Amino acid sequence: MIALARQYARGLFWFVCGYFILLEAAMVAAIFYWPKFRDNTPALAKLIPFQSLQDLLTAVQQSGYWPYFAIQQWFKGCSLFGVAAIAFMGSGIIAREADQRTAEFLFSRPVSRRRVLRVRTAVLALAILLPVYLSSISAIWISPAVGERLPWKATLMASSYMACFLLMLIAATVLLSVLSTHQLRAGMLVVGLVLLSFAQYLIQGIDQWSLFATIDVWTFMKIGAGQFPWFRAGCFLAAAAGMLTLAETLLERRTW
Amino acid sequence: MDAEPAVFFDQVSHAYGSQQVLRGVSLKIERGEIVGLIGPNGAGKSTLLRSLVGILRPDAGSVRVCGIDAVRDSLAARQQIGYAPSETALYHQMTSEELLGFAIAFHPKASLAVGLALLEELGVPRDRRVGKLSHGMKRKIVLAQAVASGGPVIVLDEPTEALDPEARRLVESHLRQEADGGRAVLFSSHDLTSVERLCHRAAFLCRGEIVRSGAAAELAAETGRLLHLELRSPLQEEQLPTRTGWNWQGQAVRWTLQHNDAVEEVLAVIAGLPIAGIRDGGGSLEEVFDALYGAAAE
Repeated sequence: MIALARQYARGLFWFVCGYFILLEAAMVAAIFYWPKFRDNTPALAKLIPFQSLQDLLTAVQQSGYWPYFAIQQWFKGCSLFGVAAIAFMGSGIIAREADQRTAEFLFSRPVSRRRVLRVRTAVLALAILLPVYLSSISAIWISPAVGERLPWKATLMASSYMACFLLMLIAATVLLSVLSTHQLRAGMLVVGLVLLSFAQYLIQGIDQWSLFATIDVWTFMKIGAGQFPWFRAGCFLAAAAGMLTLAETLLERRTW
Repeated sequence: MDAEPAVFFDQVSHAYGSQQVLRGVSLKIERGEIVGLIGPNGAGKSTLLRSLVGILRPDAGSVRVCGIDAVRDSLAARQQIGYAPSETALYHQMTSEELLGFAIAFHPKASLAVGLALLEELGVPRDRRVGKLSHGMKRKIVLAQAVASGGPVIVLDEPTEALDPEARRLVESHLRQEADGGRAVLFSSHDLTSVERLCHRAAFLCRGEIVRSGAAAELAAETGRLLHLELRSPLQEEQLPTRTGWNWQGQAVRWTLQHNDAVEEVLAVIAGLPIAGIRDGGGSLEEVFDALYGAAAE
């Protein structure tokens, strides 16, 4: 199992470093931009054309730093860089083997396909989620520099909720990768579907059916107020488990 | 379990969509035996080998490795097999040593020391990244990990392809040693001289069926001998002399005669033909191949 994990992790190492640096840099920039943003919020709210985004700004106006940070760190940072990282790294979890013609070599080893998929998914999840927690924790330490404070519990709970959301996207990507023979195709499909969902979030009337409606500012406002959306987080995890089970079944049946 | 053959294909059939690739193939390989699988491209050699290592499930029939059902208990069966695929696309970011270690990590009886010694003998630098190695070097790594896996069965798909003559001899010598030590070796190849030198038995696959199997000399005797003729002027098949057991293949000025008679007798019969050149087939596997697949092509 260690050999499998190490082999997969070494291919991800530099991408994970890049992803973490981007996430961290975006978070630090957002925190230090906060004083300027706070002072210009009313003017910005008038300029933004989409109702859903105007609502976000209204929340910032009413509640201050927590919704601002939630938008910057989780709604924008983790979902943007997280989705990019998932599409980039996760799409190759199996499709890359087909793409690079190494599938026969790997799957003729005396190790079950199920184990290969589970170990790789665990490594991928760690690679995607650990930076989410680390950058959120470092935000707790940096925020006092702009005169603000992030509560530990709420920040970790919000990170966990985001982690559940990203786990669902990881599982979807793994499933697409198992079905695909080209990494690029699987990656493009993930990015395409997520962009489509974001576009849907910007259209009033159908925005509540977008994936992004589940990680919008109102959700994080509730988490900040101590109301963790257990049911929704459970749905994310159940969907992830379902897609991973399906991916395992399909991989067992796949020929190369 | 030792009484079981090392590998046993029993009536194995497989199709890719509507294309039937294997048609009821049966073949038994005992421990200590080296068997070469011969056939033209698309005959089903790789498909048959892949059914051993769980890359594909045959549609019908059974595959057993040391008594273990390779379809139902693929994992246990794969633990018995050191497999070298024909594909040399490998994890290019790893070094030769790392790749070898990864490849054999899942085999319970594997020995990294054996693999490394073989790599050294074959001249593969152990600390060079695989992506920077030549096709032949990658082939050597793939072969080394199959031997180092330590299982009782070694399965190689086109093992000597891309190897220089010295490396080929080294690999053949190692495979002989492994067979002498009781391991069964099954490999597919287009290199008929290599098969002839190395194998105890050869099996000819044609359009998904084993059409001949046996020791090289026996096969040559069964198939008959061949004479290759080059004529000064073109002739039709009806113009060529015939006898019982004779079979002419070819056209115009190039003809091959398959026969079972003494060469002197044959020469006496064909003496009247306008012969420009004549060459005796000599009863090699290549002759068997020509006879089998020449007939199949017609």
